[in-house]
Amino acid sequence: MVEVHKKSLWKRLRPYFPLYLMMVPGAIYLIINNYIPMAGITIAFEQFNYSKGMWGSPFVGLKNFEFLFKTKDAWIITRNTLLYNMAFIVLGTVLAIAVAILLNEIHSSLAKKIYQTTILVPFLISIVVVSYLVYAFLSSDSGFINNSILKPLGMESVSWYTSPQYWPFILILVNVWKGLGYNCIIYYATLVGIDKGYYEAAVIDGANRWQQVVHVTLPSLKPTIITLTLMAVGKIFYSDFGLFYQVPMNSGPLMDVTNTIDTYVYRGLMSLNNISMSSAAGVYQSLVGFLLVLTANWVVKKLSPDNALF
Amino acid sequence: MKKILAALLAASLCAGAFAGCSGDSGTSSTPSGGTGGGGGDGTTDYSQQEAYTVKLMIPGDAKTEDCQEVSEAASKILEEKFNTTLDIVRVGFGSYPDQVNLMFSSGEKLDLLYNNRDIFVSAVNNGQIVEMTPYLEEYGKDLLEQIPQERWDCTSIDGKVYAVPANKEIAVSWGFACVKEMADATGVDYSNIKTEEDLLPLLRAAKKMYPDVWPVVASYGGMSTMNTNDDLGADIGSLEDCTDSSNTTVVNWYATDAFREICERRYEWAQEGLIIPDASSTSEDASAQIASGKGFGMFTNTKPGIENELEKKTTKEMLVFTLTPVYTTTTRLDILWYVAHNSEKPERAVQVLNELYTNPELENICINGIEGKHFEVKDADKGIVGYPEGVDGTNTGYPSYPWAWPNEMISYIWDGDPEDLWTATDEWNKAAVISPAMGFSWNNSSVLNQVTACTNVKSKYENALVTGSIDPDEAIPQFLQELEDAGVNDIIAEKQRQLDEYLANKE
Repeated sequence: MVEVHKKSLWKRLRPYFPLYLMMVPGAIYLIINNYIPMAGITIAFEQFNYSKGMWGSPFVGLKNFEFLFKTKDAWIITRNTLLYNMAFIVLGTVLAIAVAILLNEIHSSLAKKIYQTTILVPFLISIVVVSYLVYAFLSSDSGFINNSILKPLGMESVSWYTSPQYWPFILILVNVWKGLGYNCIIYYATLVGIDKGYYEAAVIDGANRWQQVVHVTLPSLKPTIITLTLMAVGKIFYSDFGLFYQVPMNSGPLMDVTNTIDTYVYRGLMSLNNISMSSAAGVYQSLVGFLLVLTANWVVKKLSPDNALF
Repeated sequence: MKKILAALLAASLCAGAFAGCSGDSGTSSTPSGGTGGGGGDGTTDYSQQEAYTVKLMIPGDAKTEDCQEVSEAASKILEEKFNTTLDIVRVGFGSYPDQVNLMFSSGEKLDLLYNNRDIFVSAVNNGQIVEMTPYLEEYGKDLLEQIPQERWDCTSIDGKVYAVPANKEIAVSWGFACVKEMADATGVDYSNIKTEEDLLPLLRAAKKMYPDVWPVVASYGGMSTMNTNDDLGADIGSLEDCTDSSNTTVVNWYATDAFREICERRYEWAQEGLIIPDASSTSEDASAQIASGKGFGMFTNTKPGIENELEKKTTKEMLVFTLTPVYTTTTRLDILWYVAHNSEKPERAVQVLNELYTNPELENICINGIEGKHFEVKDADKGIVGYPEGVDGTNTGYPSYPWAWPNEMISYIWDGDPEDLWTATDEWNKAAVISPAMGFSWNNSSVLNQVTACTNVKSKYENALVTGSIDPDEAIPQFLQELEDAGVNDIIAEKQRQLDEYLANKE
């Protein structure tokens, strides 16, 4: 029996052998870089002691996780992390697709290149520089908005860095502005690959531009959208540290709307120097992310089995 | 079949992982096991010891070649005496904490290191540093002799010594520094300024005379408060006024009237335009803002030679008003020297530390570098040195930070500093009021959750309040409520318990 199975397995795999061979370097990399270090998860469950090492430190169960749930901040940071990321996913995807479609409609290749490069530039700027760009707009002393917009209009100047109500919009705007170019490239690459025949057929059937977008472009983009969204969902419990820490200039009064899991852990543990508690936060984030990916994938599988990731 | 394959793969993966990691912990645990047997040969001539290299880490970016050169010069002295070579590694201030953590966790060779007080308790609890007591008796005799007991108390936990405090100014007072030329120009008589409140006429006059300059600027979003509270090591819970030796009640400093008064005053100042706007979100040093002509003054710590130190940073002649008494607490011993847990021979590290602390020749090489290249003797009698021709603070390959080393008080004085800097520092230390809790080391390991939560609440309000950015009438009650929710009372109760225990044992 076993013999037969082995043979058939080999037979089944044989035609793909070169493909498997191509996978080897990547797989080795993943194992070394992503799987072996996973043993480090144990640190999250022990009171880590450097001189005793990872296997000698005393086991403390879930004690390291307590600090994430004990206070009412737990609710705020979880809410902030989730809501911001959801806004980023939805707005980021919609705008990126819109811009990709617009780019696709441009026929002059020079103009296309110029636009594409321009919208990609923010993605390449370091977040620290971005934070100063934002500061140049918002600073009470010399900021563009207070000095050049509100003052001439005769309006009262706003102390942006102490007014939390504006920051959800500012952060979303900054994130979309920064990430748009990159997401847009991925969608644009898919768009370019769509068979021109579909559009020709649509035109013959009398479809206008808008109908072409709705009935040809969007359905062709569906697999890409689903894959990218699923990946983003897996990261929904992580926040872009630079965006939430640097861009608000670490300003205390804004913390109710800018504190996310990552910044909370950073602020709380920076002085404590406690590696176990920080690992616990990391484990918690990846676990929730993992479950969310599984759920999202399960939903996708129910709705459209072809497009599920696994 | 598939399942079996998967199981096999998983098993081999795990085995690999375990093998890899147990190997790691194996190597890192050997040195601590091996140290017990080391030392104790009883002789005083150490020149025949087994050859050993002590790797020492200290912040302040220096060129690698220059570090090597300095290490070689220092090793000459140490080889003759102890058959030990020294390997000095210097890393920039910004990346220093990360580099140190990396060295601790990678198990890379490291023997001696500088660090500030912040990590002391956690480093002990995490096993990052080694207890020194067993080695001091034989290898650190001079250290034991020269460092007073009250300083050892500050670096001990449960009677075990974990660090050697750097010998420098260990007392502090707080004050206000401003540009002398501008202060003179206002014509305000500043000779009688004794408290923060007294500054007001001067600040107002400065604002009127220089409308484009902000009278008070903040440093990295914060501003020192002019008071004498002792934070008892770290975290919330302090002695409100540590110059009052009869009161050892631990209180929440943010709930005191003194704190409220400071915030109210600064809020008024900010409303009046005396404090730079967005003070709590500045990411610049106050002295840099003064240097660029944006600011007139700043709150600062004061000590002997502070005017010179600030002048170097601001490039302007500075006037410093001292606004609090001189006092000292456990936290003021802010630079400590540790032996890393990955040291193979901690006793040799202690031996080198002992020599650095007591041998001026060695200490001077380590602090100032090579004579003729990094420094030049300007006045041999007075022990004054300066930069050689063509070298300055911006291009030297081995910058000098005397305070970072174990004992700056046996090193040369730099040109421009007062000639009697070390005697003045010594007198300053002796004149300081000693906090009744001096020597107490707070151990926060039983209230870590509360500390994490409170630190977050603190970062939300503290800077904004002390820079006058938000209205204390609204913010302070919220602040206190959130601290309470975060468990501040647990921290204070635990601190009080430990402090009472410490004081009882002391008697």
